[in-house]
Amino acid sequence: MTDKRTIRSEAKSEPDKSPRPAGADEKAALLAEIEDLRAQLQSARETARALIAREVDSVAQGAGDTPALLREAQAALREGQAQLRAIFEGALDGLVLMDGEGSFLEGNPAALEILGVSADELAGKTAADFVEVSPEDFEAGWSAFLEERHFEAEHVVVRPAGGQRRVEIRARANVSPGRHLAVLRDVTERRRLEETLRQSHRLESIGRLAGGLAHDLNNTLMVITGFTSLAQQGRPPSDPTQGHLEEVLRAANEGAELLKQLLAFGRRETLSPKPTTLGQLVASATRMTGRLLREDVELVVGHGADDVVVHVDPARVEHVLMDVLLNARDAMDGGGTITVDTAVESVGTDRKPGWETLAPGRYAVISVHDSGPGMAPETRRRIFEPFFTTKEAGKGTGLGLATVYGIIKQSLGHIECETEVGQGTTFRIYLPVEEEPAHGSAPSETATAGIDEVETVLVVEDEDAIRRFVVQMLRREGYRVLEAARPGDALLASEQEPGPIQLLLSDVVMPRMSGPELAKRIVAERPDTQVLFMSGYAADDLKETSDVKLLSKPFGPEELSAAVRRALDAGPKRLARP
Amino acid sequence: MTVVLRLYVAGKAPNSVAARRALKRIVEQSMRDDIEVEIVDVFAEPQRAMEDGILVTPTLLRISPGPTWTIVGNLADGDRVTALLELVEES
Repeated sequence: MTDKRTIRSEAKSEPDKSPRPAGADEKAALLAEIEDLRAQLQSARETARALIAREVDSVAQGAGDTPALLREAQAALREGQAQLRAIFEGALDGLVLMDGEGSFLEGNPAALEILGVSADELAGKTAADFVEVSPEDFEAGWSAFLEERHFEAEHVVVRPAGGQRRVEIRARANVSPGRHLAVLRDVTERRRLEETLRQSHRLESIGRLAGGLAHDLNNTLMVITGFTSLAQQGRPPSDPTQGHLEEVLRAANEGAELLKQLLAFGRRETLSPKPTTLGQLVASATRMTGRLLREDVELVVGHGADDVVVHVDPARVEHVLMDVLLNARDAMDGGGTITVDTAVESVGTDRKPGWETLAPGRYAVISVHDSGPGMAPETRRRIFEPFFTTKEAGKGTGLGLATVYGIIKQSLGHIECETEVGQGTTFRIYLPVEEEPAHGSAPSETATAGIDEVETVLVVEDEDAIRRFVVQMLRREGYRVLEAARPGDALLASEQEPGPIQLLLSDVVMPRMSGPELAKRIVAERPDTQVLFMSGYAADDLKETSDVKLLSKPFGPEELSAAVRRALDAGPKRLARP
Repeated sequence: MTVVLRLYVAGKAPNSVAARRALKRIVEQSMRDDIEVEIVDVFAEPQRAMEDGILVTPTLLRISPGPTWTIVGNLADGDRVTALLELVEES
């Protein structure tokens, strides 16, 4: 500035000098010309600056002697404007410009997409037209925004044509004079996925807790059941305590049943998977459920992929299907239609959150749709939680779908529920498809191979309660158990068993044939089978020799487990235990 | 020495309105009574704009004292205008 001032004051004072020396006129004219050019240059520079800063309203077109600098500035401005326009139009986030009152002036395509309106529909509307907010609150919010010059929040945007989106909104005031910019980002999908992920983690931890608890309680119940049975056995039927013990057993069994469901939810239940077709599963479940349906409920069964083979425990999965079907029935108070169908879907590596446990591959899908009223999101979120029920007290344990979830997860599958109020509900059960073995081995061979992996124990005991206790205990330990109430049944079971039987666990005193006698006949057929007797009478026709082992009654789960293990380990063919 | 300013504007266009407002404030704040301001609307008097070689609006010209000095834009940067006035005072 100082320099310019100096030059200008010189220029100004020069013409005033007098008397003028010769050639002064010429000099003065020259200086005036320089001054004029300077003014022109200053004006051009200033104009270019203002154009670039976008501080101008109009540009006179076709001006005769537009300086080159100005033409360049105009071109740069046009290019800059085109670029800004392209950025605005192409931005992946929604951009909306608002005037001082908050009315929308313009929105880019992403914003129109998020708000579900056309450019014309957007103009003149305010945020209050899309978000549920009272006029007063909007006014207050807008004033606060203008003051703070900044705004950030997440809102549910209600589209005028219907539908909702979760939108993250960030706004800045006065991006240009009197113009305010809001950036909109659709986070609907992200929030949904996060919720699903939270859900599955939640179920995961509840499952672990429930499973662990049930496991411990189950041991306690086994002891109660086992010893109650033994106590019963030790008394004559006329003993008045028999009735009491019966009640104890009944209560314990009820508890065990509940625990079994909890264990299933916690994925600690022993499953016996075998190749099964979807058609078999669906047919069996719908046959059983069909009888339980009211007349106003129609059951439609599709056969999309009935021949697909899955490797699951058919009894448990049928149970799962029945639970889902009955749930569908209960959802339709006023009658309706249940549609069951089968299909095959591929799951890739880009799995949704909550689906990570699914290995990529082909999955058999059984879908069950009901035309009921559907569920509210709060209900939907919790349906797989144990003890969550919408049924009135006493009508449901709240374990049905929790068990379903556990069994499906344990079968390496997934269950998904899609529902919307008024739209009905669809459950989809995903089960891994059993791919055809490369050498085309028959299913029976697969089954035999499976048997080889675990040790088989034949339990013979005429007292139902004790046999149940022992069988339950051994199954929980991971053994495959064949059971017989009478020696005759035991011989039959032995004959029909295609695989090896590693251990015969038998009572000693039984009607018609004693334990030792039975053992002799079975060992004659199966020389590798070990024998373990259980008896309340140590002095019975038995002598503890190196060949004959005895487990004395009463015994608890630990003693049983240890004795069975010892007996098996003494066998000729020890198998690696998992 | 009297300062003569001439502001070319384009009707009620936003930058023109802003420039008028800004100039009014600056003149008021200068507390001087020797400033003459003339507002020329290029829509109303396009001929004058041509004569003064006005290419864009808003444009502020300092007509007197000479030489002519130009500021283009909405005059949001008031210091530049003030400098224009102070300059005159000093000289």
